[in-house]
Amino acid sequence: MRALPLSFAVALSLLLAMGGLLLASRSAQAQQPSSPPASGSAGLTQSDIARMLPATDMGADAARNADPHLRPVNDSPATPFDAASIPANPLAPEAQAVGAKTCIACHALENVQASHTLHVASFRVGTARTGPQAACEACHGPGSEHAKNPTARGSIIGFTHGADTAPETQTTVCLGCHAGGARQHWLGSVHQERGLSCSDCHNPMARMSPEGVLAKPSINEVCATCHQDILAKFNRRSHMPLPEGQMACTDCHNPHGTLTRPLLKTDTVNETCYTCHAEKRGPFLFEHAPVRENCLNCHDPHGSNQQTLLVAPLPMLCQQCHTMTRHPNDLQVPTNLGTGPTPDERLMGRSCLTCHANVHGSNNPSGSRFHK
Amino acid sequence: MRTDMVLPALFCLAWSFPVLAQEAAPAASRAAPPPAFLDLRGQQPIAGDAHAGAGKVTVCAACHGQQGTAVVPALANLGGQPATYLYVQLKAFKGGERTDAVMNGQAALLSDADMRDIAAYFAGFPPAIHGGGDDGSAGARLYRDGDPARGIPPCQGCHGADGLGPRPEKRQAPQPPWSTFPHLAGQSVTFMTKALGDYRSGARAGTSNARIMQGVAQALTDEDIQALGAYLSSR
Amino acid sequence: MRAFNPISVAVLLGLCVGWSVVAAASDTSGTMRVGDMQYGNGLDPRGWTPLVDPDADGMSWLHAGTLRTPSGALYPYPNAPLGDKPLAPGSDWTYWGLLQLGYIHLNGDRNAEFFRQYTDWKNGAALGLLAVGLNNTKTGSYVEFRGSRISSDDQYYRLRAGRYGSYRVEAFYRDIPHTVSTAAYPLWNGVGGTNLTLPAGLTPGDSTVAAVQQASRDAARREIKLTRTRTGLSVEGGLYRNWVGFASITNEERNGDRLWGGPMFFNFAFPSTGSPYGGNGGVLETVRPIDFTTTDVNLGLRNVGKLWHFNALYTGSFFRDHKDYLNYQNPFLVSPVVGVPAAGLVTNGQFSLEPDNDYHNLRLELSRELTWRGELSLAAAYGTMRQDDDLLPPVNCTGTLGFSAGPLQQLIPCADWNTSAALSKTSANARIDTHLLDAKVSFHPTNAFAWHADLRYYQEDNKTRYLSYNPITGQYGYISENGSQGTVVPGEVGIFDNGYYNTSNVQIASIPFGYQDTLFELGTDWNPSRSNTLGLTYTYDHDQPKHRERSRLDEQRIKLTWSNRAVGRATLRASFEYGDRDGGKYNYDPYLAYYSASLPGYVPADGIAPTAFTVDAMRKYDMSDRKEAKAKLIVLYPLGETSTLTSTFYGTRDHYDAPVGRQNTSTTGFTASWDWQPGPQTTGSAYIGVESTHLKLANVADNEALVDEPGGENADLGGPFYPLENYWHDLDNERDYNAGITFAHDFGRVRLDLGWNYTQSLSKMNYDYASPGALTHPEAATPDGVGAFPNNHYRSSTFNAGLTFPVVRNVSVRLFGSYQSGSFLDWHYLGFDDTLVYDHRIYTDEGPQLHYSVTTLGVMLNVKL
Repeated sequence: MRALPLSFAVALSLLLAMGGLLLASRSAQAQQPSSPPASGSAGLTQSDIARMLPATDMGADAARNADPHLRPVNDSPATPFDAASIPANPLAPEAQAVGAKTCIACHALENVQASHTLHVASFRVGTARTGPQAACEACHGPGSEHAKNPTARGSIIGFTHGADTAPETQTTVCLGCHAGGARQHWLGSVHQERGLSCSDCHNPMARMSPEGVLAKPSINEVCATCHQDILAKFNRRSHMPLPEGQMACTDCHNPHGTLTRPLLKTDTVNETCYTCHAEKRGPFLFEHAPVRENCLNCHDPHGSNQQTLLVAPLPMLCQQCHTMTRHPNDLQVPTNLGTGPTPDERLMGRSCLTCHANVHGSNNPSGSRFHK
Repeated sequence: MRTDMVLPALFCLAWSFPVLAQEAAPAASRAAPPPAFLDLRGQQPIAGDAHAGAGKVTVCAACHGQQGTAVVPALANLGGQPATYLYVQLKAFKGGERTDAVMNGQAALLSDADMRDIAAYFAGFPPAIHGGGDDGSAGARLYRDGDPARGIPPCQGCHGADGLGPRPEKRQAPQPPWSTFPHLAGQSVTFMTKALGDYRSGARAGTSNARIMQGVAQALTDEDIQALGAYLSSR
Repeated sequence: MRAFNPISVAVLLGLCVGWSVVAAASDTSGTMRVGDMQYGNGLDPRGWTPLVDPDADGMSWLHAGTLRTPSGALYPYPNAPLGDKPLAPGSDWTYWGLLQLGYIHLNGDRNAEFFRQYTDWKNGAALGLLAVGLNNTKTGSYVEFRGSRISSDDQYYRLRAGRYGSYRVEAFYRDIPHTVSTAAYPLWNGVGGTNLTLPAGLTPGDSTVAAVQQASRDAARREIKLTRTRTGLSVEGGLYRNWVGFASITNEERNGDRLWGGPMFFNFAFPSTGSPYGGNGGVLETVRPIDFTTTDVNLGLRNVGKLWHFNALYTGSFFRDHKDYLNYQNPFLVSPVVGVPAAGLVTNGQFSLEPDNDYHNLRLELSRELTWRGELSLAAAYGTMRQDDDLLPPVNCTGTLGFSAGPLQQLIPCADWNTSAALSKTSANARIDTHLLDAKVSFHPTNAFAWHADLRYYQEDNKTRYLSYNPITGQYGYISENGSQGTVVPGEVGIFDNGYYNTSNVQIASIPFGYQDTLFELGTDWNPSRSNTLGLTYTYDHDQPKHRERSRLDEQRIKLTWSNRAVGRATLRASFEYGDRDGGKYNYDPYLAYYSASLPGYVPADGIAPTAFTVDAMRKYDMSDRKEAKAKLIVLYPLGETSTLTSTFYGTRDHYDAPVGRQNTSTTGFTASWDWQPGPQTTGSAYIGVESTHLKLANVADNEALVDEPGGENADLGGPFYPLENYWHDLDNERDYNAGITFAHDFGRVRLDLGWNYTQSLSKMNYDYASPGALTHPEAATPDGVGAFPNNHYRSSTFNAGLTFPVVRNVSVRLFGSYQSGSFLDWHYLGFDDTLVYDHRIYTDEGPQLHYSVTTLGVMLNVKL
C-alpha cells in the first residue's frame, strides 16, 4: 500500500477536528435548555429528576480539567444522558413526574425484565443509590396522571399498539438521546414517512435479542415482520447467506434512513456491494457499462432462481442487450443443450461466461471483450 | 487458527465442570415444587347463581354477615364486592395461594360452582359504605395522589377514585383483570391493616394480584397503613 | 491468517491513543457501516437461540400476554433471566453464561451443494454457542462474548466490552464458508493456483477429443468453495462533550476457488468432421483461485446537539489480490478455416484476475433543526477508487501463431506481443472519482401536514484511459482470444494497422463510462384523520450517462402512500408508484470513436461499409423508455390477544419501449403469516408465499451470409441484414411457492420444538420465432415457430425437531434432528452427468445434485455457567 492512506487519514482527522471545534462553539449555545423546569406538586420537579439521572459527563470534565493544555470547563454535562430530560406528553400537559420507584411499585415484573436490557441497565448505573429514579419517565413522560387513572387516554407516552401517543411523539422521545449518527437521516426516511415508531423494531423493555434491544430475537426476524416477500426470496436457489445466519438485512440497509431510497448505507448500490466484493470495485482497464452502472442490472441481491443471483437465465440475460452482429443474437433452443444434437457453448453450463469470464471488467490489455 | 479453536472450547468445558459438580448436588431436577401461585392475569369476569348461592352461605354468613357486612372488624366486608374478586379469593384459599387458618379449611369444601354462586350472592348486596371520609386527611391524600417522593403510587388508579372499584376505559391493549380488584371503601381499619401488612411482609404473595400489591405496599409505613385504613373505613 | 495491513494498524492505533479522553457516547454506529451485523451459522442462524427461553412469569403482573408493536405485531415473551451471579464475593461484577457443546452427525447426501452452500457441516464435535456476559452494576462496565463453531471454516467469536454511555470496544474473528459446487471435475493440474496445466496424456494444442474425454473421466471430483476469514477491531466512544467518534478496522482473507472460463474461439460454428481431433476452437470451463485480502478502515465523528447534528464518515478499503493472473493450457487443436495448417499450436491462454485497488470515501453530513418542526439536512461525499496494477502482456504465447496461405499472411509473432514492451503503458492507472451532494428540507408545520424537498446530485467520473497500441509493431488493437481467433479466421486477429489489417474494425481504447445523476423530490404527508395518513411524492430523475446509447435519461415518478389504523385493530400500509422514463436520442452504436474504423487508414473491406454493430431497434433496458407501476399492501392484523395475521400483496409491472431488447417484466406476489403465542410455554407460526414473475425479451438474428457483404452495413430492423424473418422472443416465467410452520412447547420436563420450511421454484422458458432463420441450426425448427425449454425447478424441504431435557438445575440436554431433501433441474447442466466434454468444449462443474436428502442428528449439552 502506498503512503497515501496514512496521510489521508491524518489530514482527515485534522480537518474533522477543526470543523468540529468550529461547530461546537456554535452548538453549545443552542444546547442550553430552553424550557424552564416545571414545578411539581408531588414534590419532585423536572430538575430534581434530571439531577437523579446518571452522571452524564462520565468524567469528561474531570479528564479535560486535568489536562493543563485545555481550558477548564464545568458547564453543561456531556452526552448522552444530558438530553434525557423528561419528555413532555402533549396529551397530558398537566402530568407531573412521580419517579421510577412509584412506577415499579405496580410494574414490578416489568422492572425485573427491563433490568436485563442494556438500555435500562445503563439508566440504572448513575443512580444506583439515589432516591426515586426518572428512568421510566425519561421515555414515558411524567406519570402522575397515568398513576391516578391508568386507562385515561394519552395519560402516558405509550409505545405499543393502541397507544394514543402519536408516532412522532414516540420517535421524538427516542431521538432525544439517539439523534444523529446512524439516525441522521431518520426524518424523511421511508420508515418515518410510513408512520413507524422505534418500538416497531426495538423493545428496550426486555432482552429479546443478542444486541440492539430488538423486538424479535434477530434482526432478520424484525425486518420480516413487514418485509415477508423479501425474506421469502432468501429461500431461493441462490441467495445471500441470510437464512444461514451469516448476514443480516442491516449489513446493507440502515433502516433508520440514509441518503438512498433503498436505505443503503453507502452512496450507491454498487458501493454497498463492493464492500464485500471488493475485487469488483476495480476500476478495470475495460469496464462493462451496466456492471459499473448498477449491480442490480443483472443481480437480485435478495435471491434468485438462477445461478449467482442473476435476474434471468443465461444467455437470455445477456441477450437482452447483446444483439450484436454474429454470435450473440441467435435464438437458443433445447437442441443446443448438452443432451441435444447440436450442443452449443453459448447455452450450456455457464453459457456466455465460459468465454467472457471477466464480465465484471478486465484488466488485461487484450480484455476489451472480457475474455482475457 | 484451525486447531487453536479447539483450545478455547476445551477450556470452556473445563470451566463448566466445577459448575456442574456444584449444581448437581442440591437439586435433582429443576422441577422442585414451586410455592403455590395463582395467575389471575387472564381471569375473565365470572358468572354465578346468586339464588343458589343463598343456600350455600350459612357458614359464611356467621362471620361475614348475611348481607356481607362482617360481624367483627377483623374480617372483610363482602357485600358489593365484584363477584370475580370474591371468586378468585375463594379459589386462592382453596388452592392454598392465600393462607388463612379458617378460610383454607372452609374453601377446601367448596366446588367451583359453589364458589361462583357464593361470590354472586355477596356481590348482589350494596357495599357497606358510610359515605364519609375526610378528603384532606393523610389517608385521602395517599389514596388519591400516592407519594412520589417515597415511591407510593396512588391507590385510586386500580381501586377507583371513590374506592368502589376501577372504571377503566375500553382499550385495545391487554388489560389488568379489573374485575378481580376489590372495592376498598367501607373496609375496616383492622382488616386493611392486616391485608396491607401481609402484602408488605410477603405473607400474601400467592397470586399475580398479590405480587402487584406486594410492590405497592413496600414503601408504606405503619402510619400510612393506619391513615389509609382510617380514610377508607370512613368512606 | 495474514497479518493486518501495517499502515491500517498504524492508523487504528493512532486513533486509539488519541482516545485518551474518553467521555460519553450514546449508541453505536453499527448501522452506519456495511457488514458484520449478524453472528450466526447454519446451526443457529440467530446466534442466540439457546438463550431464547421464555420466562413463565411473563412481562407484567398487571396483564396476561405481551403487548404489541405500534403496528400490531406481538412482542415475544421476555426470556428467563440468566441469573447474574457475583463474579467473586463482594464484587461489583456479576456474570452470566451459557455453554452449548455437542456432537453433530450427518447421514445421507451430505455433500449436496444446496445443503452445504453456506454451512460447512461436518461430522464431529461442535460448539453450539458460548455466550458469557460480565456486568458491573456500579460502573456500567460490561464484557460480552459470543462464539460458535461448526468447523474450522464455519465459526465466529466476538468480544464486546465497554461502559454504558461511555465507550465500547469490539473484536471479532469469523470464518464464513461458501460452497459453489460439490461436483466439479477439473481435468487440469494446479487447480487453486495460477497455472492450470494439462494432465499426462494430453498434448497442449494437439489432443484428440477422445483423450480429453478420458482425462475428464479420470479427473477427481472436488469441491469448489471459498472461505471468508474476517477479523475486526473497533472502538467507539465519546471524545469530548457532544463529540462521539469511532474507528474500526476489518480484515478479510478470502481463499478458495471459483469456476471460471477459457476461450479458444468458438466451437459451435465448427462441427466435427469426424477427425479424431474434433472440430475447431476451444471452450474451457476452468477454475480460478480466490486469494484476496481486503482491509477496511472506518472512521467516524459526530456531534449531536439540540439544533445541529454533524456526522463525518471516512471509509477506506484496500483490496489486494495475491493471484494476478490465471494461465491455462488448451488441449484442443485450433486450425485455420482456410485449409492450411496453423503456424503453431494454440496452447496457452491467460486471464488477468482482479487488480489490487484502493478506495477512499469521505462523507460529511450536517443537519439543523428549523422552525415548524423542520430540518435542513446537507450531505456531501467524495469517493475515489484507484488501481495501478502492472499490466500483463497482450498474450502469453510463444513462437508464431496464425497461418500463411497465399495472400493471407496472417502470422502472429508472439515475441512482439508477449512482452510488456508491447503495451502503450505498463500499468493500468485506473481511477474513478465519485461526488455526492444531497440537500433536503422538511417541515411539519401542523400535526396534519408535512412536506419535504430533496435535491441529490451524484457523479461518477471515470479517469481511466487506455489505448490498445503496440509500440513494437505500430499496430492498434489486441490479440483476440489468445491468438486462437486469428489462427482460425482470416482477418480476425484483433489487430488494426495500415497494411494487412487495414480493414479490421476492432476496439482500440478503453471506454470511460460514467454518469451524473440529478434527482429532485418533492413530497407531502397529510393526515386527514388520526388513523389515516396519505402521502404524495414526486421525483424527477435526470441522468446523464457518458459514452452510452443515450446522453440523457429523464424519469418522473409519482408515489402515493396510505397508512391506516382504523380498520379494526389492523395496521394497513399501501403504496402505489408510477414511473415514466424517457430520454434523448438513442444512438445504437455510440462506441465508434473507440474502434479502429475511426482511425485514419481504415479501409472498408472491398469498399463495403463496416458491418453493422448491432440492430438499430435495439434498446438496452437501462437506457430505454420505460413505464413502471408498483403496488404494495402490507397488513398486520391482530387476531385475538395471542396471535397476529400478517399479509403482503405486491406487484410490479415494467414496460420497456424496445422492439429489440427487454420488453416487459412483471412480478405479482402474496404472502401470509400467522404468529401465535398463547403463553410463554407455547409459540407457533405458519406462513405461505407465492410469487410469479415474467420477463419477455425480443431479439433478431443477423443474416450472417451478409457479413462483409453488401447489405451487412444495414442496421435496420427489417432490412436485409436484420430481417424480420429472424425476429424472436424469449419469455421467462417463474413461480415460487414457500411455506413454513414452527411450533414450540415447554412441557415442563421437556421442551419440544418443531419446524418445517418448504420452497419450490418453477421456471419455464418459452420462445417463439418468425422463421428458422432465427436459429443457428435451422433444421431444429418446429413448424409452428414456438417452443420451450425443459422446466427448471428447485425444491427444498427441511423438517427440524428438537427436544430439550433438563438434567440438573443448570444443565440440560438438547437432542435435535433435521431432515432436508430437495430436487433440482437446470437445463444448463443437462447431459453433464454423462459427459463433461462435448467436442472442443470442456465443462468442469456437473451442476447441483438433482435429488438429495440429508439427515442431521445432534446432541448438545447446555450448561448455564
